Amino acid sequence: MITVNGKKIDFHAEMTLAEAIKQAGEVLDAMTIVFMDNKVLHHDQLENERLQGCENIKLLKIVSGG
Amino acid sequence: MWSKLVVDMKNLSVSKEPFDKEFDGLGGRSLIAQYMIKNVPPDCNPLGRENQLIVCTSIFAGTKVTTAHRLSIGGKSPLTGGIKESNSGGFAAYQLAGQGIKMIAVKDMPEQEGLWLLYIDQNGNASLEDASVYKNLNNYDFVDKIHEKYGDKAATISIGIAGERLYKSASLQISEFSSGHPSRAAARGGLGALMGSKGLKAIVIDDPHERYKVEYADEEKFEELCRQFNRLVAAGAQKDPFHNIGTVSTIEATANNGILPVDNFSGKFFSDYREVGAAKFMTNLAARGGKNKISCQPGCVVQCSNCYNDKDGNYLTSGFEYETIAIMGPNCHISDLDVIAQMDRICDDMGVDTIEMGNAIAMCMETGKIKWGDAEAALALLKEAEEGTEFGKIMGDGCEAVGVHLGCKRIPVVKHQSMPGYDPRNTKGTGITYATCPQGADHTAGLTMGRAFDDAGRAAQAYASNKLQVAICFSDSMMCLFAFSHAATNLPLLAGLVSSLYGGEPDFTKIAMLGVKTLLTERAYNKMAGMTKEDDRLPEFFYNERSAATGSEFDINEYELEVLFDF
Ligand code: SF4
Repeated sequence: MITVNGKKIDFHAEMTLAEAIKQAGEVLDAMTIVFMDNKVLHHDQLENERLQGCENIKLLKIVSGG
Repeated sequence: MWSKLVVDMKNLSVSKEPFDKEFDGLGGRSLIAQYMIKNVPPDCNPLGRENQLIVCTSIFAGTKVTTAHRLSIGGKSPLTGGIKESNSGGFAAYQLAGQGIKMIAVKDMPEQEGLWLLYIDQNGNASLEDASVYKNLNNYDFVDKIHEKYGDKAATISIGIAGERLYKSASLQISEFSSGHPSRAAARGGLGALMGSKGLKAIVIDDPHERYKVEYADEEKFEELCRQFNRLVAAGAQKDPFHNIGTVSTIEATANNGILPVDNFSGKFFSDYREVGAAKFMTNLAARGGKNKISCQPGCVVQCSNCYNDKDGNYLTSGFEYETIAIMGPNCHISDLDVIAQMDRICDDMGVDTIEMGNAIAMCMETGKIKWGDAEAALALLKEAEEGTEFGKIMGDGCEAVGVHLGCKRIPVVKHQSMPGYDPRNTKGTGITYATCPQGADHTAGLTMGRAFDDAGRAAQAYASNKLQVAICFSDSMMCLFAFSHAATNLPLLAGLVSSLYGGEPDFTKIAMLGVKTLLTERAYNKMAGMTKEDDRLPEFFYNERSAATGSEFDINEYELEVLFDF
């Protein structure tokens, strides 16, 4: 099962990370970090990142500086 | 009742007194401001007898409020010449609270050469011990020796060689709760030099036999609100990149928005930013047995800290943060995360501010003393500071000292303190904070980045800076900023916590007023110390050089800066 920010997503073969995020109704901006199973992915990698069907995806918003 | 330790370095004596009633309800930054305006002459020599080193805990110290055990260090800054509060995580505030100590004031100076250590034993007795055996020892070796002698639960606040040499960029290093490493720093403003000027190598707080019991106005209510509060912060942390990754995640946002400083705040885009960003950081942690989600103090649910290992899997550094990576990395055109981690370790060890050192290295690159991106040369400069060569001593005094010495025209400082990892042309509210904050250019004083203000007009950015500067004044009096950023969604809860601890009706206005009063007190102190409105300006080049990444310049005018504090 794929989750995006805790929301379950229907998986289909060849599904990309970008599709999963879109299906979850999430919109990315420059302050959002895509974090999948302890890995950080850059926004330009999302179209090519194929999913297995069991990923936990979090979209993390930077709210302040470090 | 809370206690205060007064350490008289002239007579080498320590007395334990009840904590001053007039400061009841204060902690952290608010306590330092009110104590200093009454007890530390603004015109004193920062490294002289009249200045005091103040160490204190927060308003919520001794309670279960998450991140309540933030440690604040204060005094007149050897770097800025104004008031300074520099706060840090680590184990020390927790152990101080356990000993029932709200504050330590270190006064005067020794009459003879020497080095001392303030030791607070397991029964709460405090004494000055001869520390000459630790002279010239850097922080990691020092802390190892202290843990050998007193055990791992002894918390330390120490200076390395930089503090002993009175470098204006010297930090105080605080041992981390999880690892014991002296990797947490009260880094800004050269307060390590103030500690060194007192002949004090360290404060060692032993594990109390019996922990101090806080007195509550309404304990039951406090406990209930505290549970709610901690749940709120923990829920926010789940979606927070600082919890899931660490503060390095900020690189992803700053690099793409022209905010990440590159080549001494040139305003360029840094194409190699991924080499020093969150993805690389997480890959290295996983491959080398490193770790994130570490609490620097007991009970933190945000857990932004980390342990970063070298290529062979050996411990290199911890508390490896965005500011260090941004300023020692892209701002020096260095894109090797391992080299930056090495630089971080060297700085923590000798006890210097990584922001000052990174910017000082950038001064050397800008003037051609060393080449942009030359990591080996950068490491060699840090070694010079550690060894105390003639140029190393100038390095130790920070960015402005190096820039002036080398004749650099573009020196990124405000009130003599160098800028952290945000280019003010592309986060103008942050630029307003840099310019007007009584602490000098400071990343923790009111960073507006990521709050949607950057696309808004100038008035909105001034508004954001003003509100955040006030908010940070009370947050720095209560807890870690990273927990506060989640708590800010429920301010009545915060007011309830304060009233059930100290009494009175829950009233958020009182908390906001504490922030305003702190800020105005600090500004008044600086004015009496000789600062003028000219000190509330960014360096010229931010006004007349456009950011190459965005075309933006810092166009906030003098009037807009001056009316900022007309509350
Ligand atoms: S959020 Fe980070 S800096 Fe703050 S207390 Fe927790 S571990 Fe320490």
